[in-house]
Amino acid sequence: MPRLVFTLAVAVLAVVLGGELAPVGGQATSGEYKIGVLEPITGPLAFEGKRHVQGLEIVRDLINQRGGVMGKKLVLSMADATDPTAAATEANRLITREGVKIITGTFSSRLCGAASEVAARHDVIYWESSCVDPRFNKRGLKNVYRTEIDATGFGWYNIEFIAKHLAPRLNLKPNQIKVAFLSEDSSYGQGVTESARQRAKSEFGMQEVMLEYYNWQTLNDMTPTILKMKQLNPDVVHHIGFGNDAVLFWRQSKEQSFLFKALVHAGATGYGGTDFGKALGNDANGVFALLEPGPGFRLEALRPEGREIEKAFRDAVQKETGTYPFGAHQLAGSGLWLLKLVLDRARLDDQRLGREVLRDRSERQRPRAALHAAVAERAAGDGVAGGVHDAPGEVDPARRLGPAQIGVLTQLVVATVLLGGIYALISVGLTLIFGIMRVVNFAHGEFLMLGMYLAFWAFVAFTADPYFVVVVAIPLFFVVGLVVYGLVMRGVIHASHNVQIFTTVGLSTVLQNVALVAWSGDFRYVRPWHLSTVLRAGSTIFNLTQVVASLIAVALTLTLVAFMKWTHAGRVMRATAQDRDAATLMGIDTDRVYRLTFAIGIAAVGAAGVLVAPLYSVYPTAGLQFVLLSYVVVVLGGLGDMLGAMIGSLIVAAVEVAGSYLFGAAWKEIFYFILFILVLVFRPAGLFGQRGAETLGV
Amino acid sequence: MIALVRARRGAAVVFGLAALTPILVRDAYFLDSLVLILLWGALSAAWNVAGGYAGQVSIGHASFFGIGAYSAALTVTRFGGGPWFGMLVGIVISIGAGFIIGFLSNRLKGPYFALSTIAFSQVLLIGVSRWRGFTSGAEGIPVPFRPGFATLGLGHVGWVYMALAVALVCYAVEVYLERSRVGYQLAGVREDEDAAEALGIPTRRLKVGAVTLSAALTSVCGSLWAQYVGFVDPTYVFSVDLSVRFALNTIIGGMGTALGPFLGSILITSLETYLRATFAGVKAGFTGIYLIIYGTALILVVRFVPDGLAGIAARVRVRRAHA
Repeated sequence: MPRLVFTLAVAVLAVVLGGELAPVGGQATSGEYKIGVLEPITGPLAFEGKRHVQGLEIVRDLINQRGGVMGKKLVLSMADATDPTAAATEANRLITREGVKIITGTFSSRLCGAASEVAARHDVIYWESSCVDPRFNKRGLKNVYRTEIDATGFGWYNIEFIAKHLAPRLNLKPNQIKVAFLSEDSSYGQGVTESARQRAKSEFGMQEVMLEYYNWQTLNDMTPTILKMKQLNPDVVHHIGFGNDAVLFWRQSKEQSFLFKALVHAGATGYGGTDFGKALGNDANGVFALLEPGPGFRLEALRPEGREIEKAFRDAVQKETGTYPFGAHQLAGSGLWLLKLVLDRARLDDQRLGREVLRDRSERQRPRAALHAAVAERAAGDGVAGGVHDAPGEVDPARRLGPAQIGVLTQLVVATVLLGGIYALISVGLTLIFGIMRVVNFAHGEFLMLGMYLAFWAFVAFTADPYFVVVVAIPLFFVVGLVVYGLVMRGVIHASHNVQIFTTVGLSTVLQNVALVAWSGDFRYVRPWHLSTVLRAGSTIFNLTQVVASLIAVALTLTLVAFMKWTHAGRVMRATAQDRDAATLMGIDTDRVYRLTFAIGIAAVGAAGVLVAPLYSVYPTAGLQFVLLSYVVVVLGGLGDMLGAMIGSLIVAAVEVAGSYLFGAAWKEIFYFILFILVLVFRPAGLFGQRGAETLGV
Repeated sequence: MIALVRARRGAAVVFGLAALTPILVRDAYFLDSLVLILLWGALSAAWNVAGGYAGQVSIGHASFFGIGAYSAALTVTRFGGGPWFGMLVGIVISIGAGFIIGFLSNRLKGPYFALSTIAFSQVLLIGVSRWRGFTSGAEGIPVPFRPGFATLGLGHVGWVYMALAVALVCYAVEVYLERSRVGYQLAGVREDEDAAEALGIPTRRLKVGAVTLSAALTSVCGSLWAQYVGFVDPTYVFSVDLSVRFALNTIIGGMGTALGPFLGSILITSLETYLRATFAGVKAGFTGIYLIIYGTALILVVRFVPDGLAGIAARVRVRRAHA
């Protein structure tokens, strides 16, 4: 074996022996053995934390049915860690209040990084089952163990797979293979990608044609990246994705007829989760994902006792969630099972455990070998290198027209216009609420998110197309707007902007977590028939759903412009915005005006949510990425200028598309935020607004 | 001294209790919560210098927090310097960044200023995430724990006094702003900038000064936080959530009052910690309930107690004086 430390899901990685410490038995008398669990149960990582907890609870029950841990009943003490501070605090709580001697968790490297520091200072064992940061167990902490392969290992194996299994089937030598590296920019993506790059270059001399990082939480369009990639014509795309982004890349690659021979991924998220299959159906076939024992895992390769426990685990997960175990279930569950094995043998839970882990390692080798066999066989069985896209006869018409570059500029312009359409659609409600009435609403994105959920549930329950749902959504969200105004906004409408800002921040927290509690943090997808429909004009490609969204944005904007200009209600709104006191003196019921404005704005953003739901994943924090952006759009266009906001959307989209294409997707936001600051400083009325308009109502 | 204690009875009680607690309580969880209460309180007090006293409400103060945290972490891990030196570096960089925000505060008002500060913190977030070779990018930096005062490797008791010290520094700055000529001038700027300018107050310079001072104090707390928690990553230290937290504590405690930020921090931090611990045990899907309660509490407090806890205290005092 070239590198002994790597194993999948079963091996214990680096182990350092600790000093001798007297075992503390606080829990011995109770007949229970308590282990602390630290996971991100709320916040943007909740979708993953939830599955870890499920996996842990299922394995806890399996362990207890089989005599518990060290003869005691295993009890899990849960803690929620959304950020490093919370992780450290909760680790402290688990240790001092719950009296645990072992903590397990934690998914994200920043969480386990902070929490394991706390554990180290209390001489508590940190048994990490899922964080892949290679530095986690190389910081000289004596109490830290990891049961999961690290990012370096993931990257190493991915390149191994490309060189040993893909290359022969592509009839290429490893050093002839052109690889494009694409990755989300969290610790996970960066770790895997950098390790893969290094090995690809130094050991196999593969040709790296591209390296691109992006932020999965703010990614709205991958067309520029795909167009750039298409020209570089890679054989293999090495893409580490999270969820939303993997689906987006796959869908838009197909739209753009971007032909590559294979896509390689690592890990339980993105292409590695069954979410990906749910989102794309049959279109999802053709990805190579290195992950925790998946459906290709050969049960019969295990020893009898392993076979029994693995089967019991699969059945239990199936029973609880209705699916085959996700990677997250596997990671957390097998980590806990391994801990039980070590504890049962060692019968102690302090740092001397390390020796036991070392002693146990030879036995861990066997399942690993079985796993490798499974991986290799599966790859061979699936007829890999036949290629994902390039079946004979399926030649893309766009390619026939000539070199790929021809259409790039047109396609970029189209991408800008379509993305701008989406931004305009999302921002039009804010133009009304912030632009005209000067009410700061930081919960704007959460109403968008609610609209997306409406589309999702209507689709699930009645297979209702979002285009029908939107008809229901507008009155529904109008009412929601009225209710929220009455309950929350009315009391602060005359208060300072600060009060409004923090009220709506509170509202945003409430709405996000209502969604989390009611519908969980899972990524959901709406897949109407027209989602994958593309229109072609020459070599240029238009996604139908985006075209419709843009057209509706234009229609909505024009309607509102007309409404503001020619109706009495519109005039009253403008009058109130310009001078509230004077408006009151003219007999205008300003409270009613604010209520109406707010409700119309919410109706618009709710409708927008329904319409964009098919394009993006639906999850509780889905709205966050659009809030700041909407403010940028509204300010750029000139406050209260509806048509200006439309142009503002196009500008933001243009900056984003051009920035992504020229400098890389990672930088796209920096450009529009800098543009935003510059516009605020030099033309505070916006690019097209009336000079001085920005001071109205402030 | 006695007169000072009598004049600042509330503060004497708050800080006195904080100083006594480590002697009476040894529970690490309790002390950890206390460190966070003091640290978030100090950060909110730093925010209050710009937001409360000068009226420049920023939602981008995480920029300075992040600068402080990264300066300390990078000084220790990249250059082998001590965290104290890193803190100094952080102060210098934050003063530079403070000038930029101060400049913005002279151009922009109200929500536009707030939005521009968010944009500023986002620019830093992206920059630090992308500059992988130097900052380790999104992977973050684990800060090594080396016991000793010079390396800021303290125990829980040590951290309580460290956080208390920085809290007292921030509090002292606030008291100075309440009592001094500069403070009254700032109040003038906050209440009516045109009138203040007409009276010959150098409003622009004062605003920049207040924002810069606030930035430097925030950065100091950021450096301490990095050493305390031991892991610095850009998505957290530059997050809008964090900026909101600083502002929120102050608004709930009472803007423009010296003790307000600390009262707000006591309420919010303990509420958050308590609710999180209480609801962590319920079925995983329902843990989010604590944030629903938290958010609702926030809306209610902002709505019904707009002048904050310090405001309530003042009203009670006035009523008692009349009775």
